[in-house]
Amino acid sequence: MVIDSRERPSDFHYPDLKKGPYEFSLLSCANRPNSSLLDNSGFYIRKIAAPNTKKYYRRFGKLISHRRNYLRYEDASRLAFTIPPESVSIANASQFSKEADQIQCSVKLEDFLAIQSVLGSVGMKTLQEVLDIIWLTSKKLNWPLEKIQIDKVKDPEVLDWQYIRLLLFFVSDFESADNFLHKLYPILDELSTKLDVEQAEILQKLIFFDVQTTLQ
Amino acid sequence: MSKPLYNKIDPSSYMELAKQLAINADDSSKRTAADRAYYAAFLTCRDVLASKGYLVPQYNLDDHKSVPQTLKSIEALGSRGNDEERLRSARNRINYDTRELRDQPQSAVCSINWMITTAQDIINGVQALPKR
Repeated sequence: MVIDSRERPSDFHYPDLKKGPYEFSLLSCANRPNSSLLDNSGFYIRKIAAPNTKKYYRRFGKLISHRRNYLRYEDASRLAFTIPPESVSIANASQFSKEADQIQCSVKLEDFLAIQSVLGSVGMKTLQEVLDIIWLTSKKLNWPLEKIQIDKVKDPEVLDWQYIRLLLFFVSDFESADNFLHKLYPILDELSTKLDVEQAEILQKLIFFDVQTTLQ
Repeated sequence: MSKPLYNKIDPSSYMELAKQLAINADDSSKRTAADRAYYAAFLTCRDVLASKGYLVPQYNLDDHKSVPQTLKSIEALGSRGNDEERLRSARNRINYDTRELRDQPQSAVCSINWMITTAQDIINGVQALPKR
């Protein structure tokens, strides 16, 4: 599913987005250039609302207040997956993506919807748990993990097979990145034993991993 | 009864061919070696997993789905089985992209040494599995 504000009516609604892990709804978007709805980087601004506003403000208050309840496309996506996990306190939510010891993990909204369509609500929770364990392991072992890209992969050969690939970007050479991933495997196996049957099956059959390097 | 056009084959024998080809300097050999290394792993996994009762093979493209999914089960290789799918991605890139491929950041190109070592590791892991 691709959402392009330039092709959508101004009052377009996405009520089914409430099923996401952090429950937000895209209430409306602009369909024509309008200075009040276009931010500095040229992105159209969508009005985002969360069902649980108090919880939202507690966690992302500064981020939201900065934009007067109007979040950019990418901001809404970023809320879909959070690293560090909820158990780790975020001192300043407005610097969420800037702190050096945090990992960038943003997903465009259309990609978020695509991932959700493959994993379902249970799978989205599983994915968040996987992201949490990767982050915690990375911090504990001091890995140079820079970012995680989450892709929906439509298999080129098997017609009905779609899965999710987590691409881990390391600031290292390929051999080191490969070693990091291999050290992650037993940790993922341990996680799998703690998940319920449905989640473990999703991790086994629908979530795959690969590495990329960013070292020049 | 007519003579078979192709005899039955142990797909792990593709590994030896891959290693021989990888030594050659020409690019056709290297890229074919990468292809053979992947198929050595994939087909050996499929046949060994089938013979040990882990999956029912279809002997068609659908096995590209069932093999990595079965390999990743805790009863089989667990998350280590993920490497089979990585091999496949690498093989697709090396085989289909005929442009110059360099070992550089964000290029997603794996060396022939990685292909052969990873394929061999997967084969060893599957062959060590008990019967189900």
